[in-house]
Amino acid sequence: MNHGMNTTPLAFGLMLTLGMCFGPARAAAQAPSTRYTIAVEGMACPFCVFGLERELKSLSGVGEVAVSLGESRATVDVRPGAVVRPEALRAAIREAGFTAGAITLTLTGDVRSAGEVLSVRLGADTSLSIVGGSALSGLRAAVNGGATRFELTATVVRRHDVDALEVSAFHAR
Amino acid sequence: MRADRLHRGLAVCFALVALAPGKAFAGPITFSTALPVRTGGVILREQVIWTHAPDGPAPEFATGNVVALPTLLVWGAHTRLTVMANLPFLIKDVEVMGPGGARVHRRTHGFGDVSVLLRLNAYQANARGRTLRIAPFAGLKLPTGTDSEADSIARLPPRMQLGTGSWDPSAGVILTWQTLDFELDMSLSAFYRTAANRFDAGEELRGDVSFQYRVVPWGELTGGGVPTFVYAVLEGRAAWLGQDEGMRAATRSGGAVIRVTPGLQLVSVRYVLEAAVEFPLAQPAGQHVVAIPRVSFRANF
Repeated sequence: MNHGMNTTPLAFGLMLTLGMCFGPARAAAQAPSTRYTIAVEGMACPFCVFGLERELKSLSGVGEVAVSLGESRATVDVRPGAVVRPEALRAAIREAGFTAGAITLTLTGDVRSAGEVLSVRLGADTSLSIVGGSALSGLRAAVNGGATRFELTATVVRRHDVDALEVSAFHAR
Repeated sequence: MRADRLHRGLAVCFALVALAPGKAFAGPITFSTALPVRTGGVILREQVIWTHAPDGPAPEFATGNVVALPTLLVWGAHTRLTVMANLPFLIKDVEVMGPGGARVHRRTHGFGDVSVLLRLNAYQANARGRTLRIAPFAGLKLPTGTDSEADSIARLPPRMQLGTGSWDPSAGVILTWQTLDFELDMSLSAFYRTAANRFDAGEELRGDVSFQYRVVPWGELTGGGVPTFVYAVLEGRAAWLGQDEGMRAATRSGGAVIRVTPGLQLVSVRYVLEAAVEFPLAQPAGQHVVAIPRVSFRANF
């Protein structure tokens, strides 16, 4: 097992991963390979949540959607084998009348290295560059050591109008 | 003249056309909000509004009952544009004192005038658990309702008709401040009424305010999911109605309107159920409405 640069993000990542794998809601279902957790700004009543759920569920590749009104958060599970890009989620939230805040991504995927640039594959033709984060150095070392498949917890950031990732925790598979 | 007397009596009760149906969303009960509708989304609202005016002062002694059942459809045309259409079904029944002291009933029922309204989401500031929105709107009431109904006595007076026969534009602006604990809506609106059938209803300038406070679940919202809310609602309206004009206008009309409306709302993800009672504190000349109860149902599609 490889470790991130500090223990707090790792613990957070492990909690998320374990929660996904062993939580009661997931006990009978296969853990999703990709899960987005999105802060939704401007959502303040139950009746408004309906439009958000409909917009997110209408996206191709989206499986389960869960909204927490009190935490102003939407959790989106991507169907196995499907790809949902972060900008599609942002657009859906905008169509529902709200604003997407921080987007966290927890996924299992292949990490490739092309020179200094790491990227994680979301699908056959889709990948996201990993541009920073507290666990980046450790991840780079693990990739250089030969590991390719990881469980990652990362925050989606915009770089030159393109989505990229800042990785906070990882776990080699 | 008998017809004139009946005419005045009916006018006493039927400034009730001013009962604009409240708009949809999970906002105020008696007017609209600036909250969003998802693009392509539809909200349906059905209401029952009962306006009862007991015996008024001499010489009319008019008793009036109007039941309005407006159907409102709201469509999110774009992230910034919402379209609303309202079609009311109206049941009007007025009892007036005829010649010789005999009480005479005049009744009509059917669909009233369709109203269409466009609302622009001009400004929004979103943050976690709260939003501030400002939305100007413009509307038009179309003369789709019958405006030439008559009974065995005579042609019904303008305010007794189901439609006005006129094209009436309106415009205004709504401000909404919503948090997880409460919602505050304020609206300023103006209604211009054109002439038709030798009658020109008075213009109206209206200010509305609504405060909705979450009482269930009480306190800070904790845990995941989307609980059903119950809001305690208090609304107020202050308006100025111009005098009716034209050959068929009542002798007394126009003036200040002040109403206070307490109510309750049950709000879930899919539905809203609500009930409220409007209490007039000040009414235009000739009106003597005691209370206006209403119940309403809204559904998200």
